[in-house]
Amino acid sequence: MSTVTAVADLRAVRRRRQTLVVAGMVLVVLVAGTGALLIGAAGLTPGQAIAGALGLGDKGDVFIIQKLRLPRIEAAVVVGAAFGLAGALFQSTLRNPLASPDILGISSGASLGAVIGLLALGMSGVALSGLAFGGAGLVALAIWLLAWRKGLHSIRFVLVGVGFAYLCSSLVAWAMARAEENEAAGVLVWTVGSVSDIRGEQLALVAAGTLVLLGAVAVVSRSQGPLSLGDDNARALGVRVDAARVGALMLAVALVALATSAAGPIAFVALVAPAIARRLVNDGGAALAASTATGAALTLVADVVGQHGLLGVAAPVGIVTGLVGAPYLLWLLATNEKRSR
Amino acid sequence: MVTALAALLLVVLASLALGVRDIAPAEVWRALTSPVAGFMDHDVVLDQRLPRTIVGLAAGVALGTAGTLIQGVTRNPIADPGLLGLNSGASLAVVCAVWLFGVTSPIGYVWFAFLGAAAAAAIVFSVGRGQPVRLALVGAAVTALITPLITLVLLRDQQAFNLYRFWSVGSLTGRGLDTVTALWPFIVVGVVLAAVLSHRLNMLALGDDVATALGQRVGTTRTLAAIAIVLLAGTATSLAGPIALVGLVVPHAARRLVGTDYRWIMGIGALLGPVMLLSADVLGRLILPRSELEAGVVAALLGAPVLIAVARSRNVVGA
Amino acid sequence: MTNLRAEGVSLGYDGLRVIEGLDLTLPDGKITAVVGPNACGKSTLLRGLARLHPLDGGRITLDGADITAMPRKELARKVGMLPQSSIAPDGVRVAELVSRGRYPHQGWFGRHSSDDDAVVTTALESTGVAELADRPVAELSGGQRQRVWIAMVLAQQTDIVLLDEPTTFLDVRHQLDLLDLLTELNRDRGTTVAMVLHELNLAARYADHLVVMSAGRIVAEGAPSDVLTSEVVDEAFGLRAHVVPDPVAGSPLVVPVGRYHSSAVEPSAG
Repeated sequence: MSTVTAVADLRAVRRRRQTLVVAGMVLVVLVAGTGALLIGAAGLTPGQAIAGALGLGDKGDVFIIQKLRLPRIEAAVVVGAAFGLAGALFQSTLRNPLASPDILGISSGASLGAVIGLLALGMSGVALSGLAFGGAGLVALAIWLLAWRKGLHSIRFVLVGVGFAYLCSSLVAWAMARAEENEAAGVLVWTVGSVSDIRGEQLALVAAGTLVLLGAVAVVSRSQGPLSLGDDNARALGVRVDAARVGALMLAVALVALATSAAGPIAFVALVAPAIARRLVNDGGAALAASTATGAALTLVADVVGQHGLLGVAAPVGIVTGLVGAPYLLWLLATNEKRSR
Repeated sequence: MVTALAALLLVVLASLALGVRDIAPAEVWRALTSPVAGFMDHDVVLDQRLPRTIVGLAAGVALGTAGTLIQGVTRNPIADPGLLGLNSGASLAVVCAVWLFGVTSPIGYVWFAFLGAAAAAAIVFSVGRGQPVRLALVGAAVTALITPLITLVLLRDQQAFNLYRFWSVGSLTGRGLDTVTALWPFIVVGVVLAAVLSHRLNMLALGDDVATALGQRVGTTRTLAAIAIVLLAGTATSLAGPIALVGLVVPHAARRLVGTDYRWIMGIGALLGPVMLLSADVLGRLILPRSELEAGVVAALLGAPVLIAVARSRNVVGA
Repeated sequence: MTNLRAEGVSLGYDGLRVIEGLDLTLPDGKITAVVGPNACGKSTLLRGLARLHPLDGGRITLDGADITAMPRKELARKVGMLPQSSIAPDGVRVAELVSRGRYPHQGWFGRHSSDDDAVVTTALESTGVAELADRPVAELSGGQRQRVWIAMVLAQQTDIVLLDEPTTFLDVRHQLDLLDLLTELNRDRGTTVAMVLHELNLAARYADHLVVMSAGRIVAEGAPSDVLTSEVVDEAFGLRAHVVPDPVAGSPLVVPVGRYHSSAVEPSAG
């Protein structure tokens, strides 16, 4: 075997591993999705469920499957994928494994926007989503402007982001303390996020937007490899470092804002999914595809667990994601001692 | 150092004198030295302002010192008690105390908060094994694990939710002096430990290898620091709730003021902590007419700009 | 052949001028070594030549064209640069790291072609790290790691290669190995090599063209045997030294005097 084919083979091994992780996560999505289609209060048989999904059979069954169960599954997958990819982009671009919309204040910006809409303006529905989107976007923009100083430095961006995270979340906590008892519960839900009410046009909009952004990420993702070698090396390899970083971060922010506007800031998906994906792929890369798939799988599983009251109460997905993802991440962290030098 | 001390005295005085009812400094002094029972000004100073000032002093010292220790040990500029899972551990314990045992008095749940923080820290430090990046990741993962548990309890128990709503903002009011009386030894031990460790942190800042080569047992330093962090941050959270940003901002501000020597950073940090917390509390009394903003909210409002200014300063990059 | 040239270049950090109005031409197809005391601006100069550092004044041209007007990728296909102390990301393996040198040659989606594989393989083989292809970079020794980084720059297939202190942290044997490797690259492919070196005697032996810098300007440049005199060493480093012929290569050998241990004659000119 010549060395040329050896290099090609090594690359194929790496690629296979990435594909394997993505395929594994897709399998999790399929299994959890099928489960979510089959189980529920209506108690449909598998046959009825499949017929319903195809638009056949009993009208009521079709309604339950096509209007209630399928949209919720699709929403969890789309929103989860968006969060997973956004987290991976943040973390690799800022070269900090903690950088995620949760820690950088973008999620809490969305929460704050929604809380203001909910309590001060008495809004609901799409208007509220718009305000959440605006909150996330505004915080991202503010971080940007304040962190920019002759280029975009990672540490600066992260520190400014953390400042906003605390600022927004303490304002949310304060609003929650001041609110009436019944309103406060609504605020609580908006701080955790849920996929139960995303359907119809809104779902189509979010799905289409996420798809477009996925495509855009695929185009810019190439510079992530050189960027991980450090700014100087990346420049020497011909990467326009500031432009690449700004591009990747803009896409990440757009993904988060879009997903958050629909589902609220589903906690920890963007933090945990890429961390899991990177450890599974383990090639020193950004693991963008694997993070996307992992985010979708994590969110869907969490929603199935939460929806069917496996925790004793029917819980919105945002409560469960941390419970599903964090133990797995902790286990990975505890067991990969040897590899982390 | 002198300036910081003077600033501290000033905010203590302000904390005793200012509020909905402004009281002249001389009258404050008389209230402390020869109080007249039934005289409104004196009662306000002694019964309301003195306790919250003392709680603020204790929690502030603890937070400032703990924050400095955490950043020194993890070598991570965004590390703080919240990031290491301590606040979420304390919060979970408090809501569980309310939910399961119906505990509602501060002196009752103080101990739960402390144990919760300690348990979370124990997990974080043992899985993190002292490696800075791992510590931060494990802290975030533990927070990710605990926060949903808190929310779950809140969804089940209205009483816990109501208490948590106010507790989680972070405030110096409504805590009796008995909480400080119960917990002050922890702060003393923690501060003494921190003082002893500050010189070791200077070596640790150069990296584990250099510190070891300079004759330091790095593992011991980390363990002692972890103990001090739990004592201090656990106490602070028990006293005042999860106060955001004080533990994060104070070390950065101290570093800007006195440079890189941890012996100085630690000392200044211990003074700046209460300065920041008490100023937040005093400002909170003055911002809204006839109402108060909790110290936790004001601390975040004050701290975020400071943190951003620190981030924008030239020497943070590469730090 | 490509020709990299600095004309009246000024460089600095946040208002602090390090280099003022400096002219330098890297001779085509030759090995150039830049030496000088710490903080004399030699690394800054190299970074400026690779456009890693913005110019405060003057211009840098490649075959007469201003490099700041060039798309970065195009520049990266012509000028390769290995910055000081590069750190590989966790978990990345040798072949993968070296493959990243192909970045400027790839299109939008970065698909690897069999040509890329061949180039990567050649780079791995010529630096002697082909057997390590599947090993994580973090597990390698200092010498191996440096070779891997150089392999990455070789995979970039540029006519000019700039290296900032490539021999730092290497023992004597590995320093020689590395410089021999760069010499082969220069002789076999005609690659123009320019590097910052600390070790004067190795610089004098391996360089065709020696640039001595001090306090942001060039003190002397030319063939090592012409340039490296005890006067120049004194001027640049403030160090008294004998300069004698290297018994192996015949190039100048700098023997510093220092404050102790000198039993022999005072240094004389030459």
